[in-house]
Amino acid sequence: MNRNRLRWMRKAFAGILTAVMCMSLTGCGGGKQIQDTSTAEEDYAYIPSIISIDSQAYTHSGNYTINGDNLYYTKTEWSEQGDSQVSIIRMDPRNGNSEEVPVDADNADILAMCMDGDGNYHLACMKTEYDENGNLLNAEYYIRKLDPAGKEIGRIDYGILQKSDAESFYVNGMVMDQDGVYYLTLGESIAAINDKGEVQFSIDIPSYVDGMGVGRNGEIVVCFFDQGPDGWKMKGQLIDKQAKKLGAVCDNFPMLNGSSYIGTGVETDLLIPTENGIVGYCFADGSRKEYLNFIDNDLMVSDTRFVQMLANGDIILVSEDYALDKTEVIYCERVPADSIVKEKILTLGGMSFSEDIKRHVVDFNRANNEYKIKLIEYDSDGLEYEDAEANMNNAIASGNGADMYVIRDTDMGRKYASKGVFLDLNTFLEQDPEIHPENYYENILKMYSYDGLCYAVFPRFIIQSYVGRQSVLGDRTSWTPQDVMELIQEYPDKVFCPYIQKQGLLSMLVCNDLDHYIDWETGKCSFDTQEFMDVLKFVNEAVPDAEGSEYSEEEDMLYYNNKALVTDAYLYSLQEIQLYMRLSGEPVTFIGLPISSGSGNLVIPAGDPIAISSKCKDPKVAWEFVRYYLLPEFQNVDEEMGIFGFPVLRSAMDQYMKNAMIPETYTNENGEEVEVTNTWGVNGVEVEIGAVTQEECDIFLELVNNCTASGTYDEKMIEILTEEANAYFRGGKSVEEAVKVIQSRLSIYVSENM
Amino acid sequence: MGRRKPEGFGDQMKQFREKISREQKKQMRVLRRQYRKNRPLKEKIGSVLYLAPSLLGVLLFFVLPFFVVIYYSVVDNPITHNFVFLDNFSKVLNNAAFRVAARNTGMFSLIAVPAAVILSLLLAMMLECRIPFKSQLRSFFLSPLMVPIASIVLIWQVLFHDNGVVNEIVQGMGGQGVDWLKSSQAQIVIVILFLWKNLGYNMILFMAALSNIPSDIIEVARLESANAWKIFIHIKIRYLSSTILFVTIMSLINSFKVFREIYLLTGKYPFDSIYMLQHFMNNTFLSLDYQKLSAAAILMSIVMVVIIGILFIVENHFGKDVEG
Repeated sequence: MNRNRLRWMRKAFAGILTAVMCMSLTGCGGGKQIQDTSTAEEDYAYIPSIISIDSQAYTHSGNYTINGDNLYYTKTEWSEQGDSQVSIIRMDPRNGNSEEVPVDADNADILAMCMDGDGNYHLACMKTEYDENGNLLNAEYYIRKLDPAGKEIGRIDYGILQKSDAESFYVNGMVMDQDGVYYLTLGESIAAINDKGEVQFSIDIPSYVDGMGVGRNGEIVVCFFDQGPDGWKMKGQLIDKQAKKLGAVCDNFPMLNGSSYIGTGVETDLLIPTENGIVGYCFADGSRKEYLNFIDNDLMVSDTRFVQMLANGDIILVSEDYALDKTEVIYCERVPADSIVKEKILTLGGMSFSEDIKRHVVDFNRANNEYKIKLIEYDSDGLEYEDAEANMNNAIASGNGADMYVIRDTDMGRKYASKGVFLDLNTFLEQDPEIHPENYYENILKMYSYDGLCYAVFPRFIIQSYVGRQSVLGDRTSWTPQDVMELIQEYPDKVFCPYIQKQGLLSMLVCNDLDHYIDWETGKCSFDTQEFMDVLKFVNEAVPDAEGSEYSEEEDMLYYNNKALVTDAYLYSLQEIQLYMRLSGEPVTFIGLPISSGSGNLVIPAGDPIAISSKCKDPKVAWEFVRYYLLPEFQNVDEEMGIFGFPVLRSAMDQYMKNAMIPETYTNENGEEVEVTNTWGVNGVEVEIGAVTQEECDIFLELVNNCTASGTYDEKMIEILTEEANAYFRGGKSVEEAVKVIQSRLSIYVSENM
Repeated sequence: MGRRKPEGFGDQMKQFREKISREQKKQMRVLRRQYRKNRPLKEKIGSVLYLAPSLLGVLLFFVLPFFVVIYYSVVDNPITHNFVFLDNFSKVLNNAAFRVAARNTGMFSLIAVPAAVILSLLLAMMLECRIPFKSQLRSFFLSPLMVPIASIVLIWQVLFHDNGVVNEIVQGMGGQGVDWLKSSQAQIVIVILFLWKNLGYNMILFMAALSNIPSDIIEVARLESANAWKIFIHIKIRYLSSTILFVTIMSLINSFKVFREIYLLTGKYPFDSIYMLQHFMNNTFLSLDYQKLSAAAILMSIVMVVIIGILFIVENHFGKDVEG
């Protein structure tokens, strides 16, 4: 072989090797690929239109079905005599036109409904009879077959499937396959029964069946929670009709959210409602496809009762909004993506989002044509908190952070505020035409502040305190750790607080009083002093050893029986002031946590604190979103809307107190107004609660005006402190050894963060 | 009876060798320059293309991040990017936690690295001799390399816990138990852990280097009445100088990696005697203090460069007349 040819062969070989290496890099991570695609990559989008349906009439989950392009659901109306009249509603979901199909009266509960290809209805029914004491006398279980006009043409008894007592025998869902076999979910089992009433099989499921559906090729799938190595996770599994048992497990099965309904797909095998949207799922490779994100499409869905895709790709969805008590049929029309007007996007990032935030985002997006708010959840895959926090850190540091943030953790908030991540909301508060800080409880409104910079605001709050009898606490309105120790010594026959453990008392005495032990200017710690050793010894002696904080009635009633000095109190409403006064049987003091100076009554946000990023694309629009929570229309919302806590707006608080002082009444049979007395249970005792008094309001206002911000102590410091103190409490170390280690570790921690 | 060398022979040989090597080096430089000038363009382009993927990778994953670190060290934080020049370095140098970490890391490296080098050299020399169970002993010293870190940490916890095996033995002998991992004795535990983990690897390197020493020179030295100590100092050490440098550098690098074991044993904030530089950097990273982290990293790398530079100079001095 001549030299030239050898040289060319060497070059060719080197070139092939390089090409193979490059190609292998592009294919890295090969093996079975589970594709998760979203509509962002697709060339279509959805335009939803919403039709409200009457939620006053009783409808049961599973009573929705589809035939052709029409939605069918049952409607049951009850007469005064207790008789029920069932009708089937046929609705065109595109325009809401509906027609009622009256059904032969039967006076039975409709538990589930499906339809066959001939337009016949199949209703799973249950008819029960009870005596005056509520005992079940008689029960019938059958599937009624009705023609399209609503006339009964057949009936099958499925009562033979009953294994357990009649009270717990209940059909949660029903589907039908192409062969006319019915599949019924019965709690923790699935049963198949044919149209002649012959039982095909019954399969026990490891736990409660959360959902059942039919795949596009007739496969039957069930989903349930199963305990695996990573804890309880949702599992989807096919029914093997031949073997009459559970079949193949579905990999990567999405978490079903909703009342047990799984839809049949068109482009995928299944259509599954999740917490965030509608996802298609394929059995073959376990791939998912996100069709519809609720929030991105301005939909507020608490529970998905039904979902189905039509042949043209449109999606029909029945949604339940529990807070507003409404049921809606949502028709999502598939359109080309470029036909949608693209609004500018502002992002709201956070570990997770409450229903309240999601609702506000949806309302804001619907009202705003120029901007749209998109949610970025850093904890979307159920990560550990530290991993989710790392995600958020990385996003911020790499410049991919959100425009606004939900900040629940005060440590995290302070950390980001010190790095200039947030804008100063004082500027917005001062310039806003409607929101004037003096109209609010400023100490609470600006609680999320760092070095004069108000970085987040929140709409409502609760108060954390400790409450004790004035005969025990004396004239004190606040107390120091030294006062606590003296009081405990003064009353050796009483425990400090029910369920308190050594670590809890130590945290109470030290963690709100860290300024006493740490010179924040120089970073010098003084945990190796005699004073701190005395605190440790005191805690060790004052609190008995306890295995845990398990509930016991005796422990619960310690305060009521005057065997505890104080009890913890979380004040969510004005009635709690009354509650603790009546529980104590005498005047009380809400003394709070022990603290060297200031008030020990702590404010905890009840709504989500929101901050605006210093890199926000449009801070004015972001403020428009945030300020809504401070406006009177939100501040005056009451608990019945599912929003709790006290408003930060003074006028809303005044109105709230005024309303709380009005007694609740009802008209009795004599036409007289009688005051309603509610009973609340706390500490194992039931207490009668009524309208609050002016005195109670005054006590409450005193608390509000003197509250301090909560969470000003560092969680990591408490962790180090209690970890090392535990070694002393367990007898493994002397107090000198314990304080030496505490001093060493906390000194490092404080110096590091200077 | 051997011949005695004339006086000054050694020095003359040394000068002769230096002269040859200087002339040779000069010639090589001239030849290289001529080659580079005359190389065809096509060949140059080909070389660049073949080097490009590796170069790109090195640039992307090593050089560029290095400059990003430098950038972060001269701005106030990763969000606002205000230039503050050397303020961060000044803050880090004045930070008590950094000073504790630097002191501990320096102390640890000063004790553990020489111990690792000397002990592994001694072990290698011992295993070069004719001793019984040589291969079993070699496997014994190599086995820690194969044990997973989690298992090592578990073993160490069992041994050095407050109620661990070591304290039981000490108390059994009438002494008082010590909280090994949360006291000033914690450094001893970590040094022992480091040596246990790394001696085997270093020993293998030295054994390979020892076997490469030309035996004829040693025979000649013996014939010239040199004793074992002189042979070791004047011949073996010189031939081992590059290996000693390599082992020292590797041990120095591994001494920083000991953070992993300390972290698993004691968490993010251990007792101050085992709080290392990497604890400081790890914790500042988690609290988004990128400027402190970068400044500390640059200071550490400067110190490393100086140390390694010194090591190279020393090696050059001792090993320059070694053949091959």
